[in-house]
Amino acid sequence: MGRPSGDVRRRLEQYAANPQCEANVGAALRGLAMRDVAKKLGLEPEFGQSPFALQRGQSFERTLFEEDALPLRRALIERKALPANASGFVDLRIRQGGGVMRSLDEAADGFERFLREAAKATGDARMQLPTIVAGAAVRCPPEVLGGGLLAIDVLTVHPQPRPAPVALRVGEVKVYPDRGGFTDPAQLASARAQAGLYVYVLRRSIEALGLARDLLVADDGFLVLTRAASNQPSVRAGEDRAFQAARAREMFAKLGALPAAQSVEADVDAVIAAPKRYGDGCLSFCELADHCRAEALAQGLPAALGDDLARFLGALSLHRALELLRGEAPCNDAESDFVRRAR
Amino acid sequence: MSHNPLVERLMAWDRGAPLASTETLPFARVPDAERLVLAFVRMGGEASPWGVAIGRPDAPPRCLTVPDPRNRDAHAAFVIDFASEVLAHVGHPLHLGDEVKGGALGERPFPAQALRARQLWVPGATHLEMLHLLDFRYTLAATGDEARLKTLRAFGRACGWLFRESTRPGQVRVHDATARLRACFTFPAEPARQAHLGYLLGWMGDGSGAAREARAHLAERQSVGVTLSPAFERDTLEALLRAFHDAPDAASRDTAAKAIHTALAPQLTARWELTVQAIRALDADPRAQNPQLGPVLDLGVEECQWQYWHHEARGVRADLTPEEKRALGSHPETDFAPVRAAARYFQHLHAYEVTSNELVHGDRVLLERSLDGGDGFTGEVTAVGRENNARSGPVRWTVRCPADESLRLREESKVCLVGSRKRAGAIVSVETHDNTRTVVVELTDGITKTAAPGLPDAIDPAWVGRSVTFLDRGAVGISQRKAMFVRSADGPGAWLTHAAPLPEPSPAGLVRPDLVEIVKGLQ
Repeated sequence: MGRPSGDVRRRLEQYAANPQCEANVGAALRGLAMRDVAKKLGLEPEFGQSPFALQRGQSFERTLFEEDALPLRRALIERKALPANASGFVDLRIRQGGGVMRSLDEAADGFERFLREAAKATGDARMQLPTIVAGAAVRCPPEVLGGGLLAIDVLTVHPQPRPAPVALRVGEVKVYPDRGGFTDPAQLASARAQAGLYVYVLRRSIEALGLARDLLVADDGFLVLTRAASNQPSVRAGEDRAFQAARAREMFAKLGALPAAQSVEADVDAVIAAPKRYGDGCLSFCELADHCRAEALAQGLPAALGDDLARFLGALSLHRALELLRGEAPCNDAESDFVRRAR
Repeated sequence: MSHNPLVERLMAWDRGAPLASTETLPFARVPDAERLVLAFVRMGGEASPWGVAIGRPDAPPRCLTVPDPRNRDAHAAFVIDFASEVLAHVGHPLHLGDEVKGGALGERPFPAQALRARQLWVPGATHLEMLHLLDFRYTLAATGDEARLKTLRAFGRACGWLFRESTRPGQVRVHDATARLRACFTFPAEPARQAHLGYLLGWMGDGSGAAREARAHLAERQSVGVTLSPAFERDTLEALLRAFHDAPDAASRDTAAKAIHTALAPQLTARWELTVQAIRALDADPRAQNPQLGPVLDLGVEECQWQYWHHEARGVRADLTPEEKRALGSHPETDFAPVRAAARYFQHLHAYEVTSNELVHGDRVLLERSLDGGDGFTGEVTAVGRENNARSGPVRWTVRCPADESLRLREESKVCLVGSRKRAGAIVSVETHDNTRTVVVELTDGITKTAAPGLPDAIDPAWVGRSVTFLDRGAVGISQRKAMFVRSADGPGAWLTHAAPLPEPSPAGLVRPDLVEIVKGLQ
């Protein structure tokens, strides 16, 4: 059992999936994989990723950025996310992802240099800035999860003559097919939340570099999905991320106020001991979900039978609600109200 | 006790077993010959099936696989193998059985009776999505042998129509087995967990509550969606696929392809069999099908005719040009024309209205839910008569009911009598005093014995003292008319969307782009 890699994005999303569960918050904060906690509890977690899906994702990203990102540029121009004469490509992807950078740190340094040059560029040099940046790495604020790096899938650069700032638009690449209005809304929401996080962190980074006067991270961005039954990109432009960025800001503010990690063993024990709060969403991301549900059910917590039932019962336990349904007299206003609503 | 689904879930948990959530089943039970069961699996990250199990529920399924679904030619050959079966089931004019053919090609009458009861069953929502993805992949197929392309495109269009039909409210043709079970039973588990067909079936077996729950949790560990378990892909399929690609000759490649098929077949069969188990569980259910299902089935046949069969039948006519035929199909991604999208929206609204207004009269639980929602009232008739003691004309009933029940109906709301829908009219007044609400209903339709068989005349004093229930009559038909009206070139906004020609532009003389000239003019 070891400290997992500093996948800051995954940890932040883990936190956001159930911020009311102290065990989950503790695990996200300490960078602990719930899989390790589950193993210590004697459970057999079954989460994992399909090797074919991973290959498909890598293959799609490689295709996107082939020939100076020609396929992606074409799709962006088609959807008017870039002007027709857009050119130039900066590849900051790490080797593992098909790029040339040796590490995320190197990518972050390269991106910082790019930002500084873009901010000070004037005249023709400014108007000829590269318009697509792949694999831009940015540093999280140090007070959150001990810093850490986030890699933005793709950025578009929109230079304007001074004094207007150079606009940056965040793009998120996903491998699932774009099925128009039938595309899974939960998957889209997750991609937008991720992009909103990048918008916020990128803004913080630009402020920290003192470049906010010359560089502007736009509220809107784009998603790059696959065309159904093809390996070609389908771009969804004009995606508003203002609320997702605000959500990320709130999340960072809350996380910044929490204590830092201890030793791995102590951390696992602390997560096990922390109060759990089971919810419907836990099923999709947490290896302890079944364990917590069983505990919740034993305690008669209504969330074990669904978030909607928990809202309906309020502070009532499952057992007390059943007693009331069987005809026992209510003891207080809340119980009377439940009897009236359940009648 | 009310029919609140949350309270019912609590009661189901207490009982340790699912509870029937309706009095009747909202779809038709049909012979197995009318049912086709499909189950897919796909490779992680891919949008096309890796394999399919297909067949009638009363015979073993046919499992078909393609060694590598990323190979387009191989995938098309795999699809061709089962396309005819799907096309025959949906009633494609070129794939109908001999018993329903007749007439020259392209002029055959729509086989309404033969297609009325056809049903397609799939295990869950992801399998329905696969139909949409097959639509994307094959409706617009452009390369290959022309005869083969025709079948592939027809298959793509059929999948697209089946997918779109599955989204129409109240439809009874395309069945997601998981959703059907959830619609007919209340399960003692959180909604997120109820997306797993095996889990639901685990709850439905015999035994104690604990035994059912344990069985459900065990079943939940097996994947039932189109996606395979990552561990199975990693430990079994990855090596087999590598062996297929690394095979030095055709014989080794065949052996590797068979190994992939052997690995996938049990996965496909398991999904297919779960669907058949769900069908059998619903067949064995003691509840009858809703007696008011007729109009819902009629609407389904109408949709089949005009949204699928009509286009396909015209498409096989030799006298149409390819350009004319192009306009007959639906694009997998979008309607392109706003007016078409608007018309379909109103058709869906109409389908919802037909379903909810019809089925409520055939199911006591649906009726009680409707009353709980304030869409009707139950009370005692206290007076029967005509306005100004007229000798003929509408009959007024005064109904007294408790005032603590919610009521959304107001004066002039159209209502009908539950048990005899032809007896209908409008509310004249609603008055509430203390705990009593008095509703006066003026009956205008079905007021005679002849018009409402089995009931006394509406004016008969025998009604006084009897308990009656009135329900919102609904407004079935208005949305369907709207669907027609939005196509009109004269309607508001039509100039913007589909009317032709476009309106005349403003006269050029009114536009003065030269700002200096404007300022000089002002001086």
